[in-house]
Amino acid sequence: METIRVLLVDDEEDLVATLAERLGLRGIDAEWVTTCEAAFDMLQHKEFHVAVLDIKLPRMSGLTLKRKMESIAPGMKFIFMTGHGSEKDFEEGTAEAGASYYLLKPVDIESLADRIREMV
Amino acid sequence: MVSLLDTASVEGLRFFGRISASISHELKNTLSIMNESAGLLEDLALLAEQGKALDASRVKSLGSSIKRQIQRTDQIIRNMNRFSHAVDEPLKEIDLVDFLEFVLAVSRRLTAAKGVAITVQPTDQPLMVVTRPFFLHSLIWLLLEAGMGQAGKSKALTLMPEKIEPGISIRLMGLETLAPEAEKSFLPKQGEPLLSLLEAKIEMDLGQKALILILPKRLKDEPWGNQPQ
Repeated sequence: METIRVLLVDDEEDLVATLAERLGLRGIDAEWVTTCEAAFDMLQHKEFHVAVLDIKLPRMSGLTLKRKMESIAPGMKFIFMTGHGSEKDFEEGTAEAGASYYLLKPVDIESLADRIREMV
Repeated sequence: MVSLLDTASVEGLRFFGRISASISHELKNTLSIMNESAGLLEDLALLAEQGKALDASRVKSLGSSIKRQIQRTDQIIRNMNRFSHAVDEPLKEIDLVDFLEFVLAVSRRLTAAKGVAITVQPTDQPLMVVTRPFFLHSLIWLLLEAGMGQAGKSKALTLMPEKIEPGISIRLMGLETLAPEAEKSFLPKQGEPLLSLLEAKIEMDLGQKALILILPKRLKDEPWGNQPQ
């Protein structure tokens, strides 16, 4: 079976670096970037099955980033992470943007890994 | 009859909510990092139990990461505490440079979201102002929001406090697209409650492309009175 490849985008480097390492221990090949520009650059060189995006990124919202990433890599699936307090509010906010899943911070690693596997 | 204070308080409450929400997001971020670092320590311990060698340097760096986030969280909570207590003293003498640094620290996440870096230019001598700190914080945030919308490509703004006669000015420098008509669209209008409460005014320096907030050095400790709207 092909290895699942995931791109993590969040401006908190310590967060995405650790998340990537933990996903790696669960058999998911995860790479990370901390800016939207780096995400676009990464997509030019590599293919990913899933992108996990912070909903609030500097200079660009996660929702806008998703639309732009889709234009570069059609077919890629998306998961949003957020520090929003309410799941309901967040679900309503992201449903329109077509997010397959959303996760509240702090993220449960097993839930994240399960959802990634379900999507691929 | 609605008092000036009532009207300003509604704006102030809105501002308080916005900053509180931003702080809660910041706390969620530090908690998330600590959660992942602690989780990775557990993962590594589990692997060690299964016979995989434990990388001591990795464990050490994860411990350091958690400590860094605890210090960061502590600073966020200190700022939150100071922000919350700003409403306790309606009139207070403040060191303006220290206050501006605090305003930026509290709103760092909001300014970062716009991709704008804002700094405070220190002064040779302390600039002490007797003012209403909470409402001044609200007004400076309005000024910053207006300025960030005009920041252009450099995305770097500077707050320059200085003594003028007969009061104090805070110049927001580094704007790139300031136009005379902008005054109508994005700045707090003269006579708005926050400006009135602080006896302040906002001017534009088109030559230097700066927004200027002018404050009295010492607000009078007067009842705020009922003023019809």
